[in-house]
Amino acid sequence: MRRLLIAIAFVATPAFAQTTRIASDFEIAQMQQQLARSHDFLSQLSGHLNLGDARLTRGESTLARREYAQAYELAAHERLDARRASDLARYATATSYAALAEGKLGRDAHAFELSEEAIRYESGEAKTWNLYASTMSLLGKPAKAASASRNAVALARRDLAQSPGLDNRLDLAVYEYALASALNETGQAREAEQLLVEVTSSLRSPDFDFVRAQIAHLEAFESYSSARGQAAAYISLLNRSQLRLAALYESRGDAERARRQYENVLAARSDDPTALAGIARLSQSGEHFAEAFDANPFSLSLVRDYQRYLATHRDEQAEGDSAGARMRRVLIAMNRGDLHTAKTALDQLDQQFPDNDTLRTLRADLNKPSELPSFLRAGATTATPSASDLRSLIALFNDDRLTPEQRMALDKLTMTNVAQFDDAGSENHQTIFEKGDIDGVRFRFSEPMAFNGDFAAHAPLRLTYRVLGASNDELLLEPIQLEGAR
Amino acid sequence: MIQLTTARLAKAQTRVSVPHRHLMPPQRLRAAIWPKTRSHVAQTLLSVLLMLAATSAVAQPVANTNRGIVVAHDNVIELLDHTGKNLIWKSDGLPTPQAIAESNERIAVLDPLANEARIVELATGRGTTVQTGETPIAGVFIGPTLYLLERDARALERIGADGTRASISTGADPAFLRAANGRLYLYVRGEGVVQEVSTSPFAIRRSVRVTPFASDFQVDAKNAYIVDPHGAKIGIVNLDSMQSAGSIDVGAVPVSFAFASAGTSLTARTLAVADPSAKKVWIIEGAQSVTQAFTRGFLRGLIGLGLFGSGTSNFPTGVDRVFVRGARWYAFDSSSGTLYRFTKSSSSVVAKNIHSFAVAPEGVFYWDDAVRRLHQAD
Repeated sequence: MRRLLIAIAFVATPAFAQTTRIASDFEIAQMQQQLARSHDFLSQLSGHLNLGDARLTRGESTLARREYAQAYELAAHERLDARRASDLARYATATSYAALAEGKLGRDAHAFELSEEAIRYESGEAKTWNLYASTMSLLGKPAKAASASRNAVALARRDLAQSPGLDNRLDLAVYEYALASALNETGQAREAEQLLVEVTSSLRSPDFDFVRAQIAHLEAFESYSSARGQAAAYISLLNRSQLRLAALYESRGDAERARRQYENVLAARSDDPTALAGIARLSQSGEHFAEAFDANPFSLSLVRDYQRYLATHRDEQAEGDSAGARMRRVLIAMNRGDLHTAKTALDQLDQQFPDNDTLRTLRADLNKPSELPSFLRAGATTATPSASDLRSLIALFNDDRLTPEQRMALDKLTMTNVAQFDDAGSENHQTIFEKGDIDGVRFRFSEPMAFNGDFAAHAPLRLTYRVLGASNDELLLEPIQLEGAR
Repeated sequence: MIQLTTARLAKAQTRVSVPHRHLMPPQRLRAAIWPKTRSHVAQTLLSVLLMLAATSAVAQPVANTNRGIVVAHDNVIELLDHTGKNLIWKSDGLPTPQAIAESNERIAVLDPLANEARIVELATGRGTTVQTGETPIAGVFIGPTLYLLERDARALERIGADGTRASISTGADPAFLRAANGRLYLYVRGEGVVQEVSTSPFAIRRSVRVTPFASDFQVDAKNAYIVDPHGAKIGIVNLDSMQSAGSIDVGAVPVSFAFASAGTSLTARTLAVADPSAKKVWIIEGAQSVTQAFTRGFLRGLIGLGLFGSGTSNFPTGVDRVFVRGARWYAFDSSSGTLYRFTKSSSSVVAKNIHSFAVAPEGVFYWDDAVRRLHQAD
């Protein structure tokens, strides 16, 4: 069943047809179908909000904003329509959603005004306060969100006491989750943890056997930010609560508990991008990073985690042709200073995923002006440059940003590094080398050079040289001396 | 960002959606429940598109003071003269101002989103910006002292003229702050409590339990009034005894009200109550003692006066705020930004697509963000 649905997702999103599936492809296809089939307000609204959120996690903020704008227009239309029909509960709900959409669009002041208007009409409804809290979280106002969430939880507890039932139990869990999220953001981690443990325990209790059976029957697994119905709400809430709990444990250094929560999430859905990224971060394993990138190649936080990982894993390779693998190759090339390779790979990704924020950020990183190595600023005559210094030199040459004075200083500079040559020719106790690398930075001579003595290729040798220039990702060197590395 | 806000999207919404009394004229009621025709839908859509352009703007609070009209917008505060045309001074403002509290000497512009208040001397325009507790939604001056209701901090804060500060805790969701007889009155919406606060000592003096989740709260010298939209009532608290003094049934979904008249020997104090569900403003009598009611009824019968004829005013859209300035009555539809002037028998549009305004003796003043100018209407 799940495979069939995934196949449908491929059909619905041809842009991804040639690559490994991205985890949110399925949710996006589902929401697009919902928008096409169901034209009532709530179906359309949740469709646009969920699509926007899914797009945002993939670095597609332009598409996300388009969805949020449509959600706002729907809600604004609905609130006026409700007001004309004298249906004030509907008006308050639509106003809350209009506020939420405005919050997602970054229109803070109007989002706040609409939120206030909604609670003027429906301050006795937990749902209204919960939407208020969500909007305040979007505006970066966690203290307001926490206060509103407390109101929502108090009202939901009242409702549950008056009418114990699955719907009210699920509602309470949703609001407790929102409260925990807001408390966590205000630094009240202890209370947040208690609430999240309470939520996950409650969801795993026999009270929800019926919903779990329903989910098993439907083979449902998709997670939405605006979930409809018991099954979808249950799946989404359990997923988010466990992820939130895992992040909380991770932030305080409790890796074992964090890993357990991430594994719980993956047990329900093996391609959850956040959980895979969490596991990769904790395990520092290239294999896990590969899985996380396949689930969502465009998560900026995953990109940054991977860049940190690459700093200590210089021999990392990325096999395959998935978007995740190609993204990792970009990052590996960047890490090695193969800027030309990185730019080429980025260009190809850009063609397939135009207007992507993460790709744009990486391009900006690549284009960021390289700093002048300190030995050039200090006017030194000898230096042992780092790989980073050499990459900066390549970038400065490629961008033609060295001043005449800096070029003169470079001409006078003699540098020494441990190098490895690619291949060796030999004749009359001379060894002939043409190219190699210094700490991952490629170099070549202007022509094959013969060195007195027998030297092995692919072995560390101490090379003293001057820099003549750079081409693409290679330095052009003039050798002065070669000796065995000590 | 995870929302998970709509787990119960499909839940029925019936709390206040249907007026529970037969107050709606049959024609209007039919319009509300009958399916719309194609042309009606098209017309609706057009009006929505027009409205969207205007209503996505943000409020710029305007206040009438004894020195002129104050408007807060775009990080500035301006005082204009009573015509609204001549600038007297301009001062630094706040990023997202929402409300203005005023006294004879000072104003306080409140920014509940940024948790800031800017207190400005009306005479000079000189002011100071203070950080407040979470979400300052209302302010009241008693003498030179400012009292701020900080809803999400669940606190009432006092800021003296010299800058000294003190704070007292309130219950959950304190929503309204009023002053009468030198005392402060809070309505704590989540708990359904009215609290009386003395200024010296600064402390909660008395409390009374009332209906929770009210949409408006006003006080006069003798009573506090609490608007309960769900129960379609206005609850009354006698401020002398701090005891409930009963309630008045009104409309289908009353949302807010203003004192329409102070009362005479023939009539009790009257309230103008906005009811957006019925698209009416109801004119009703406020609290009165049994003796007062008997005497007034006797006099009306004796000289043959009716009580307000039909007793209602009709509006094309549902109004949810009422303002009274002497003989001039105004009603506001916050959903469409339409301001009406009304009498007991008719209403007319004063301004459209506005968000905030002040009713002054010279007329109604509102800020037009499109042309960045204060307008006077009526």
